[in-house]
Amino acid sequence: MNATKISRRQFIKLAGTATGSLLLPSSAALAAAGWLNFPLHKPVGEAPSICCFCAVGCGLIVAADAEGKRVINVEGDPDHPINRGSLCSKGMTLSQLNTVDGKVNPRRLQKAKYRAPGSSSWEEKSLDWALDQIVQRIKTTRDKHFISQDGGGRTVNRLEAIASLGGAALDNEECSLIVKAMRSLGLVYIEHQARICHSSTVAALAESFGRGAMTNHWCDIQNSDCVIIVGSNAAETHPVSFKWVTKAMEQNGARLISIDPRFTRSSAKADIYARMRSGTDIAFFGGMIKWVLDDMAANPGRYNMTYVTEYTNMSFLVNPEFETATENDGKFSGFVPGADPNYGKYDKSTWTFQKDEKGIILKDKSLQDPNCVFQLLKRQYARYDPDTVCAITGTDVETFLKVCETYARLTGPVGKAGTIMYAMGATQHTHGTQNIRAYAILQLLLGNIGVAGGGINALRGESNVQGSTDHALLYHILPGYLSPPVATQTTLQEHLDAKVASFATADPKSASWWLNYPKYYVSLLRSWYGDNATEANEFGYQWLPKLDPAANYSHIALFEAMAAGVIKGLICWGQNPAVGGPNSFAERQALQKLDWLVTVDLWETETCAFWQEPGVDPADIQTEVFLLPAAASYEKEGSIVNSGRWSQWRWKAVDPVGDAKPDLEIINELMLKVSELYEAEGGAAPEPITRLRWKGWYDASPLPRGAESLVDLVSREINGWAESQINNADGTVQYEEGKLLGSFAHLRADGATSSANWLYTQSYNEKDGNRQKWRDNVDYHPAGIGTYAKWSWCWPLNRRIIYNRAAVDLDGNPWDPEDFVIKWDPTLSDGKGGWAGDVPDGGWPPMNMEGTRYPFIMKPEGHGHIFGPGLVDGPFPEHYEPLESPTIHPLSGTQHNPAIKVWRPDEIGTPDEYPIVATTYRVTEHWQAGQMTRNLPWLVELMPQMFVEMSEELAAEIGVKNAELVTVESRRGSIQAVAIVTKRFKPMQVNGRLVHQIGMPWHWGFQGLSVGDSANKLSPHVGDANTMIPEYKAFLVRVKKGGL
Amino acid sequence: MAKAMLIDVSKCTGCRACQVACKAWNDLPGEVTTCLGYYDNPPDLSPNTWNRIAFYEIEREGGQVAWLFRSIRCMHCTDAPCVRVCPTGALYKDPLGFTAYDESKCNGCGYCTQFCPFHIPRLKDATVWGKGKVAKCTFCQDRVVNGLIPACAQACPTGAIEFGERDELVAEGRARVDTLKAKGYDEANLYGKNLLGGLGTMYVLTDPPDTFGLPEAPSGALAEVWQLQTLGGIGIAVGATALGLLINWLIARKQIKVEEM
Amino acid sequence: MFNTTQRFVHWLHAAAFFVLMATGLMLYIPWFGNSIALGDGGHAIRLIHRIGAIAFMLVPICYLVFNPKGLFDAMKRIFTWDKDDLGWLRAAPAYYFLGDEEAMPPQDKYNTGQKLFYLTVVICMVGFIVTGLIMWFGKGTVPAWMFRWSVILHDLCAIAYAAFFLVHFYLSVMHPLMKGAINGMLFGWMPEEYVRRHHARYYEELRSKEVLGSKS
Repeated sequence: MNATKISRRQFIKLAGTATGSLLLPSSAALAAAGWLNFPLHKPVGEAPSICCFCAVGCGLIVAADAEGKRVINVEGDPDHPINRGSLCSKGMTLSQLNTVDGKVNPRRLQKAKYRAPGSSSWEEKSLDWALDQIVQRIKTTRDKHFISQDGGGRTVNRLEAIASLGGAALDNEECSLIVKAMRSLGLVYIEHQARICHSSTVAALAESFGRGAMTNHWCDIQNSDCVIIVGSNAAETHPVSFKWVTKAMEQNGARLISIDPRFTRSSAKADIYARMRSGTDIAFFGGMIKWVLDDMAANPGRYNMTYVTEYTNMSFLVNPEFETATENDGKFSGFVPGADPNYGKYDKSTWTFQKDEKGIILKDKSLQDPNCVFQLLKRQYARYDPDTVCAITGTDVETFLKVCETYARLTGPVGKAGTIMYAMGATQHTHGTQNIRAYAILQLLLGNIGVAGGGINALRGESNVQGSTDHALLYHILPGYLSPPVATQTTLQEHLDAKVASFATADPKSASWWLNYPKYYVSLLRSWYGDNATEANEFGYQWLPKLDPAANYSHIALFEAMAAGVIKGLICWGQNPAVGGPNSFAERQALQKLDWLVTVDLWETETCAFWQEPGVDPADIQTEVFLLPAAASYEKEGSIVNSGRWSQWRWKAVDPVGDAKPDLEIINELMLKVSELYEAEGGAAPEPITRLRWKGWYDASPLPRGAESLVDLVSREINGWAESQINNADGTVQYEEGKLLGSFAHLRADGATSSANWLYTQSYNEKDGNRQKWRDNVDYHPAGIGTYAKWSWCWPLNRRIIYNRAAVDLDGNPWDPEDFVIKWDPTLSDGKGGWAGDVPDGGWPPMNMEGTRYPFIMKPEGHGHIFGPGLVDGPFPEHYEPLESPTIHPLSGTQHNPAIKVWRPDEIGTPDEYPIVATTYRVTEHWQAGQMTRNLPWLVELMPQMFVEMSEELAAEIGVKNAELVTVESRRGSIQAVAIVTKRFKPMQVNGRLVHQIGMPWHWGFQGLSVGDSANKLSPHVGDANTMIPEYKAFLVRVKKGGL
Repeated sequence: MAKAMLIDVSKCTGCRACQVACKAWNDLPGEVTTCLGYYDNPPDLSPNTWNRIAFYEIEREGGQVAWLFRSIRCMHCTDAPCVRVCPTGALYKDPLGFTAYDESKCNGCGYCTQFCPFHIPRLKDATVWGKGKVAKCTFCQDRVVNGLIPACAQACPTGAIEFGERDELVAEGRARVDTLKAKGYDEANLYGKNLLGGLGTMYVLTDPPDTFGLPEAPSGALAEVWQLQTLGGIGIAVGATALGLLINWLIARKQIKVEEM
Repeated sequence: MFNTTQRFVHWLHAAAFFVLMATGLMLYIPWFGNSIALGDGGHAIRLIHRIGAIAFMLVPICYLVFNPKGLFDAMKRIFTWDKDDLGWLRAAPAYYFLGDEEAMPPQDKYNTGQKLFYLTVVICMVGFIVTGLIMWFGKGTVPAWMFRWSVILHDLCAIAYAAFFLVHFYLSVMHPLMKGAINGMLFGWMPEEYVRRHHARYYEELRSKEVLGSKS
C-alpha cells in the first residue's frame, strides 16, 4: 500500500469517535493486576473488506481461522472514516456468509448444478462441464437468432435472444468484463438492479445537475443544518448513515424531518414527522416549492438569490408557446395522445429557451419576465396551496406548514445547507423521475447544491450498484454514461456528431463538459478492441450492437419479451428477479419460456429454482438451468463504489467455499471459451467476439502491462493507458506507450488512449498506483468538513462534493466560510490564484474573473436545471396519481402520468375492489430479494417471517388481531403474511374520504432458511415514463383475515 | 478507573447491530423464532441471546406516536445482587467495574437468574439434575482488557452505546438529559447513576423508566439479606448453639452423675 | 416405644438430613466446599443434594403409607401444649446444666424440648420441601420474588434445623442425663425406669393401657 496506515487506536484517539473514550488503564496497571493474562478468545481480524450489503460502503475486518479456511470473526473496521468500526445487523452477520457454527454455511452453493428439461431435481456437475455446456448454448442461440441487419438494411449486429441480468453486488472489474463480453456478443437486453431501484435518480439528477449520482457523500451529512428523509427510511436501510445524521443533529443543532406514510425507525429520531400517502411526493414538494416561491417574493433576503439567478436556469426565458400543467389541465404543451387518449408522447418543441442571434440563451435576472422560468414555476405550482396539497397527501396542514417553514428557514439563507436523503419511496413510481426532480428544484431554490451539508443524497442500495451503473450494466448506456449506438447512426461519426450536437452551446462561459464525449467513446472502443480498433475501421464501431430506436429493452420490457418467447437464454449474475421484480407471478411465468437459464450466485435462489416453486409442475417446464457457485465478497479481491462515489478496494480474506469462483473468473473463462469456439467453428458475426481484446490478453502469461493478477489488470484497464506515445504541445513526452493515465482530461479521440470507463481515469495511475487501495483516514480538508481525500478514490477526479463551484459567490468566496467546500485563494499558483479545499468542479477561476465557467459543467448551458426539458414527461414535476389510486386527484383532469407505458391494462386494480393503498419496503435485518440474508441464522432469528403492517383502525375493521395471519390481494395475486397491528400506520383523509394504507417488506420467497410469500406478487408491471422503473411503492390491495 | 456503558435511547435506531455483534463476538447460535406481531426477536434474553433490542410503541400526549428502542443486557451493577448470591464466586466484580463470571466455577444453581432485579442472567444447558451454566453479557471482558471496546459499543452506528470512564459518562449523560429536556422531552432522565451502588450500564431515557420496562427502584435487598443470613446466620445460630452445648457439656459432665439405667 | 416404621423413617430422615446438610453447606459456605463445590464438582454436589431431597420427601410419605396411625399420634402429641410445657421451660436450665430433676414437671412421650424440636422439624420439612421444589422446578415459572423468598426461607429452615439438630444430637447421645435415650430409636424400646423417670405422663398412659412389660 502506498499511503500511511494509522493503527486503529491512533485513529480512534485522533478522531475522538462517538464510541467513547479509550482512557483504559495503562498496560502497567493491567499487568500489575494480572489482567493481561486474559487473552482475546479469538482474533478480531486484519483483512480489510467492504460490506456487501447496502451502499454506505462500511469497512470491515475479517479474521480467518489458523488454516485460513473458515471465517471466525467479522467486525467493523475502526479505521474506516464512514463507519469507524460500527456496522448494522446485516454487516455484523457477514461471517455467516461463509461459516456458521464453525462449518461452511450449509446453504452456500459449493458445486455447479444442472437441471435438465422437465426434471424435478438438480444434478451436481463440475464447473468445467457447466461452462462448456453454457458456452454451447450461447453459441447455438446466438448463431440462430443473431440480427446482422435490421428491416431497413442497416447493420445492427444485435442479439435479442439472450439477455443478461445483474449484478449490483459484483465488483467493478467484474461488471467491466461482463458488459464488455455481453456487448461483444451483441446483447441489448442488459439490465440489473439499478433499473428497478435508482434508474429514475440517474435520469432526474442528470437532467437537473448533469450527473446522475449522489451529489455529496455520507460523512458530509454531518455538516447539514436540516435533513429531510423522504421516500427513504435511512435508519432502517442505511443504518450507518445515521451516525452522520446524529452528528448533524448533535453538533450542528440540525433538525430532522421524516416524511413517510408510516412512522418508521427514521421517524422515531425525527424532530418533525409528516405522514404522506404513498405516491404523492410531487403534491407535497410542489406545495413546498410554492411556499418557498411565495416566501421568496416576500422575503428575498432569506434566500440566496445570487445562487438562484446566477447558477440555476431560473432566469432563462422559455419559448412563449410553452404551457405549464396549470394552463393545460395537467399536461404540458405538446402532448400527442396515443391509441389510448390518456397516454401518449410529448412533442417537446415548445420546451425550448429563447436565444439571441448568437445562440446564447436570453435571461431576465430580475425574474419578472412572464416567460422566465421563475414565473413559469410560479404558474405551475399556483394550484399547490397547502389545503389542496394536504387533501391529496393526507398530511395535516399544520405539520405540512411546519415542514416548509423549518426547511426553508434553516437551509435557505446564504451559508446554510440542507440535504435531502431519499431512496425507493421516491424512485419507484410511474412519476419517479419527476419526484426526484421536485426535490432537485427545491434544493436549487434553496441554494443547497454543491455546498457542504447540502445536496441530493440518493441513497443507493447495493454495495456496488453505483459501480455497476457506472460500468453500464443497463441497456441504454455504455460505460461512463455513454450511449450505445442506435440503428439510425450507421457510422461512428454520425453517432458522435449527434451526441456532440445535443451538448452544443454558444455560450463561451459554459464548459458543457460532455462535448468531450468523442474522446471517451473512442477510448472505450480502443479499450474493448485493443489494436483491432483503428481509425480505418471506425475503432470497431460496427461491432457494437445498435439499439432499435423504437424499442425499450429495460427490465419490464425484458420480461415481457421473455414471456413472448423472444428471449431464449438468460444469464443472471447475482440478481433474483423472481422475488425482486415487479409482478413476480408474471416474471416467474416468463422464466418458464426460456430455453436455458444460467444463474451465478452464492445461494439457490427463487430465480434459479423457479421450476420448483410450490404449485408449479416441473414436468411442464423445459428450461435448462445451470447454477454456478459464486464467491462471496471477502472471498475475492476487487473494488466497489458506494453511494458517495467512493471506489474502495476489498482484499481477500479466505478462499471461496467448495468450487465457488469469483464472477471475474467465471466471465473470463466463459468468454475465452466462446472466443475459442468462434475461432474454431466460425458462426454468426464472429468478429465482434474474436476481435475483442480478450483472448491473448486476460489469459496471457505474464499478464500485460505489468499487471499482477487478473483483477489488477482489469482495474488498470478501467483507468486506461496511453496506447501509443503521447506528447505535450511543446514536444515533451506526456505519456510513454503503455503508461497509466492520470486524468480523463488526457483522453483523446484519435485512438491514442484507451479507458474502459472514463469516469475512473485517475483511479489507478502511474504516479500513485491504485488509489482505490488508499487507507489514509485523516481529514485533510482545511475546513474539516470530512472529505477524507486520501481514503480510497472517488469519481470524478476525487472530487468529493460535486457542483462545488456553486458553493462560492461570484468572487470565489464560500457562502459558508466556516464549512467551506472550496474557496478561491489568489496567492496560489504563483499569484495566478487557485482553489483550496476539495477538488473544484472545474479548475476555472471564479465567475467574476476572466476565463471562468458556469458551475454545472456537465449541462450544456452550465446552469442547474429548474426547468428541465430533457425528460419525456415534463420540464416541471406535476402531481399524478399512481396507476392504482384510491382517489381522483383534484389538481387536474389528468389522473396519471400521460407519458407512461402501460403493459397489462387488464391487470389494473380499481378502488372499488381494492380500496387499500399498499406499499412495499425493507427492514434493516434483511436485504433486497432476501437470498443474502434469509440464509443466515442470525438474521433469520431477528426477522423470521413475512409480515404486513396495518393500522389499529384497519385491523379493527377487518377483525384482525396482532400476529394473526392475513391475506393480501391485488389484481395480480395474493399472499399471506403475519399481521403487525401498529400505531405507526394511521388512516388518512384523502379528498374527504378515509383511506387506509398498509405496507410490507418484499424480502421473502420460497427458498432459504426463512421462507414466505413474495410481496411483489402484488405489484404491477408498469414503469416510470423516463426509465421504466416499476411502481412498487403505490398500488391497491384488499386485506382479509386468515391465511391463504 | 471504573468503566461503564452509557446507552442513549434517543440516538438508538433499533438497527440491532449490537444484538448481532454480541452473538458474533461470543459465537452464540441463532435461535428459531416466529413473528410475534412486533419487531422484537427473540422475545426474551436466553442463554444464547445476551443482548436484545426491545421495541416500545407508545402514544404521547397529543396523540404523537413514538417508537422507542432499548438494548436490554446486564446492568453490571456496582452492588450486584447476582454476585452476592453466587455461592461459588463464579460471578464477581471485575476491577474494571463490570460484573464478570468464570464459567468454570459456576455450579448451575441459578440463583443469579432469580435475584437479578432486571432478570438478566440465564442458565444454559440446564437439566433437572442440576447441570447448568450462567450466561449473560460479559462486557466483552477479553476485548476491554486488550485495549478494545465491547462489541456492541463498537458496532453501534449512531454512538447510542458509548463505553468509557464511568464518571465521564455520567457527566455526559446528564448533559444529554439537559439537551433532551430543552428539546421538549420533559421526562428525560439518566437511569442508573446511583441505583444498586451505580449501574455499569446506564441509560439516557426520553421517558420514565417504566415506559421501557425498567424498575424505578430495583432492589438487591433480598440478596443482601440472604448473603447476611447464609454466611452470618448459619455461623451465628449454629455457632451459638454449639457453644451453648459445649458449655452445657462441660458443666453437666461435672454436675450430673450418670446413673445406671 | 417406636415401631419399625417410625424408626425407619427416623433414620431415613437422619441420613437424608446428613446428605442434604452436608451438600448444602458445601454449596453455600465456601469454607466447607472450597474448590470441590465449584464448576462440575458443584453440579455433582447439587445432584446429590437433589437425590437427598427425594429421600427427604419420602420420609413423610413412607410414614403416611406404612404407619398412618403412628404419624397422626405423633402429630397430635406435638400440637398439644399445656402448662406443663411452660414448666419444662422454666426447669430446663437447672435440669440440663445441673441435673436438677426436682423442678421438672412430668413429661409426655415427647418432652417439651422434643416437642419443640419435632414441631420445628415438621414445619421446616414442609418449608424445605415447598421452597426446595420451587427452587428446583420453579425457575422461570414462579415469579422471581417467590423464588427469592424461597431461597431465604429454605436457608432459614436450614439454620433452624442445624441448630436444633445439634441440640437433638447432643441430648440423644452426649448429655449425661440422657444416656440410653437412643435405644428407643435404635431398637424401638426403652428401659421402663427411663420412661418412668423422663416421660412420667407417658408412663402413666402406657400403664393405663396395660402395655407395660419388662421392656416396652
